[in-house]
Amino acid sequence: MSIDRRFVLKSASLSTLAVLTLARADMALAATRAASMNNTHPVLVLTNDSTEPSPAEAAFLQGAYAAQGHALQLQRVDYEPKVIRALERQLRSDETMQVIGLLHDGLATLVVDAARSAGARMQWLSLHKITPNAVHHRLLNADADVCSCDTDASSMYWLTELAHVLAGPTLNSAMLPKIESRSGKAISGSFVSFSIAVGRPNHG
Amino acid sequence: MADANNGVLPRGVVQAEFEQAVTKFRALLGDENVLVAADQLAPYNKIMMSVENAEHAPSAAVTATTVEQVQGIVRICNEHKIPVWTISTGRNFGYGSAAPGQRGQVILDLKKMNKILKVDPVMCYALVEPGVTYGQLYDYIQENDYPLMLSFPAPSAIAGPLGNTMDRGVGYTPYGEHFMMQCGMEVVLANGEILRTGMGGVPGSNTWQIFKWGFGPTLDGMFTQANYGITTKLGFWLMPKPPVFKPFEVVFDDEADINEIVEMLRPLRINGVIQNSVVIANILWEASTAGVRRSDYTMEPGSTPDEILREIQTTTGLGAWNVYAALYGTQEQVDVNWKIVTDAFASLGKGRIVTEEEAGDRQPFKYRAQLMSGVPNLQEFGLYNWRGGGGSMWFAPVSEARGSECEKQARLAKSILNKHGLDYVGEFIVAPRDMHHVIDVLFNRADPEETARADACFNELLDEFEKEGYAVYRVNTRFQERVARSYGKVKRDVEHAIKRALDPNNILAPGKSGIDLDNYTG
Ligand SMILES: Cc1cc2nc3c(=O)[nH]c(=O)nc-3n(C[C@H](O)[C@H](O)[C@H](O)COP(=O)(O)OP(=O)(O)OC[C@H]3O[C@@H](n4cnc5c(N)ncnc54)[C@H](O)[C@@H]3O)c2cc1C
Repeated sequence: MSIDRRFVLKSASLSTLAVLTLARADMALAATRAASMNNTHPVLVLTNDSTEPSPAEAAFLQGAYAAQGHALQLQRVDYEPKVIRALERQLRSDETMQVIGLLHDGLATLVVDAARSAGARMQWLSLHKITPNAVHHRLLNADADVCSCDTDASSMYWLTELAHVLAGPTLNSAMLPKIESRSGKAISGSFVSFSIAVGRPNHG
Repeated sequence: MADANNGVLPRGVVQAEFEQAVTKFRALLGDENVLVAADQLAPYNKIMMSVENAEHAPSAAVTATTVEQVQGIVRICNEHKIPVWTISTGRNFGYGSAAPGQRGQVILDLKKMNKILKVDPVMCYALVEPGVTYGQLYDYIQENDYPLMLSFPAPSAIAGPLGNTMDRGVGYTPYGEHFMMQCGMEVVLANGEILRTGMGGVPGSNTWQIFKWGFGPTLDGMFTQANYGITTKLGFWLMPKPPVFKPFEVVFDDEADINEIVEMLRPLRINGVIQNSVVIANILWEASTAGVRRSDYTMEPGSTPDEILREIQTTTGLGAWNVYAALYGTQEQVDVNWKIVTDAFASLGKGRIVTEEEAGDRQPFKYRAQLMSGVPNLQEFGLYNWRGGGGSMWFAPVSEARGSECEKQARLAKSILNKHGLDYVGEFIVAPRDMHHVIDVLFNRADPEETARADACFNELLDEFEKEGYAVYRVNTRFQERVARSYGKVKRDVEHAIKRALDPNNILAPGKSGIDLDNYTG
């Protein structure tokens, strides 16, 4: 499925965004992971089953668009068994591809599991819980929970930055949208961000 | 080939020894079946439990495709004293997921052994390998137009009969007690020998999936929830597809109704009018699987107040308790039983009956009806969005199917959960005499403080239930040692005596159900 980019941008601009970044350590790690990927392969963004993206998702999609432009592919996931099975087949493919996303917990559980089942490589996996007062992040990898930290909840710019890094920057980060609009509405939500490398290991 | 090690070693094994074992695994299985890089192992470790991921980090994961390879893996593990944690389809969400029970264990992932070896539509049974999913089996039965029906747990499309039965899981049809329907298994023992249970040891026997008991001691049960062997084949019975299937829901508005609901259901269940594993699910379970999130109603931290629960009832039309059951049989049988059921509910004077025709495609009715008729779906994963944050641990005490007992357990669980700022998201799965009282302890793993609270809460649930003589039927790997203690020293002594006899090097899943020769002091 494709989500209209103008709609995404509009949703993002309505959201509460300011200048704030995800903890530096996390972002640096995401950048290292992304750098290990080949920048030229296709990037697929998995999106939630909601009819319209939440402000958080919209901020994330903006960052991914900034990195990949219109080359970015979007694919909706939901609880339909055939959708999850088809995704697993995609993740098993020999074709090099990077699959990223910001999904809610239910779908993210299925996607991470599909990655395991397909033998794909999980280069980034992090929990983000956004409450009106704080954002909790917990980065998970196979050995240790690298960082568990809280950030200010008044902005979601970190999501734009995160997606930009995970999507593998082909554009300069100066291209990242500068969004300053605010809304008084409390934002909340719980998400999992991830980056999955598909295809043969050591390809790039 | 990925050669980076993720820096985790099995308990008591030095790097050089581990590398020798990995070299042998590679020679046996091929590089692509030996995973040691951090990014290959990360998807095995979405544990959802109230501990750091590090405590359940694997040192490696290996995949096998044949029984001979499983035997080879066991041989290598014995040579190098490498502990190995076996998963089949690996979807044990809320019980430890695909992660090993202890840090450093090598995961033996049997997902690639996924052959449906036999489905007999006349004798109504199947024989499968560990990696077969219910979804795969469903497609196979459909493609062959067999008049058979599956019973499976809620993650039906992706979970598998072998793994689910090995952990003594449950489903929602008349065949819902899965271990009861199991018939014959093949097990690779720690010494590499292959045991076939029941009639399976008799050369030329055609009754391996027909007659469970064989001769002498019946061994199947001791391989479930255990670490005495690696099961490589499982037989189980399949229900003939009934000509008529009639699912229904009964909605109860008051939390206190649980007592009467159970008293009314038990006779119907025990005398076979209602044959399937009935579910009595509370408001939060049903609302979250229908897409409701806590943040739709409140941003306040802590447990969700009763006023909000009632508000959710009002806006969704769901009950404080929601009973799901079904009738199966010929039209005549279903008609007779429907009259008995509706009369019974009418005599209660409360409870709104909802039929399939009335519910239409509405969730959660739709997925409940699918579960009761053997149609795979994944709708119940909506539970994870109620609170969000990726923490989920099933607390699953066994209860007598007696109203007063269920009421007592529900109250006790709710008060403990609420005390720790968490919600009671629970259901009873009704067998004729027992109830699996299944509670999803949902919490935000991104918040260390809430994670610590969830841990304390789970411990308190175990402690307080134990004081009342209750214990859980199954638990996640963080609490298996704790739960094993509830069942008494003599049982544990016997379990460890069997372990010493069958697996003296303690290589098979040490810690599973608290059985671990290195830790148990008696
Ligand atoms: C939303 C949701 C709803 C759920 N509902 C249900 C439900 O209705 N009923 C239910 O039972 N569960 C339920 N679960 C829990 C769980 O997902 C299922 O029980 C699932 O079937 C277990 O995963 P699996 O079938 O892939 O088995 P696996 O994960 O492969 O195996 C489970 C365990 O069995 C042992 N084991 C596996 N294979 C072997 C082997 N070959 N030899 C020896 N030991 C082995 C291991 O200890 C392993 O950890 C639910 C989970 C979620 C998230």
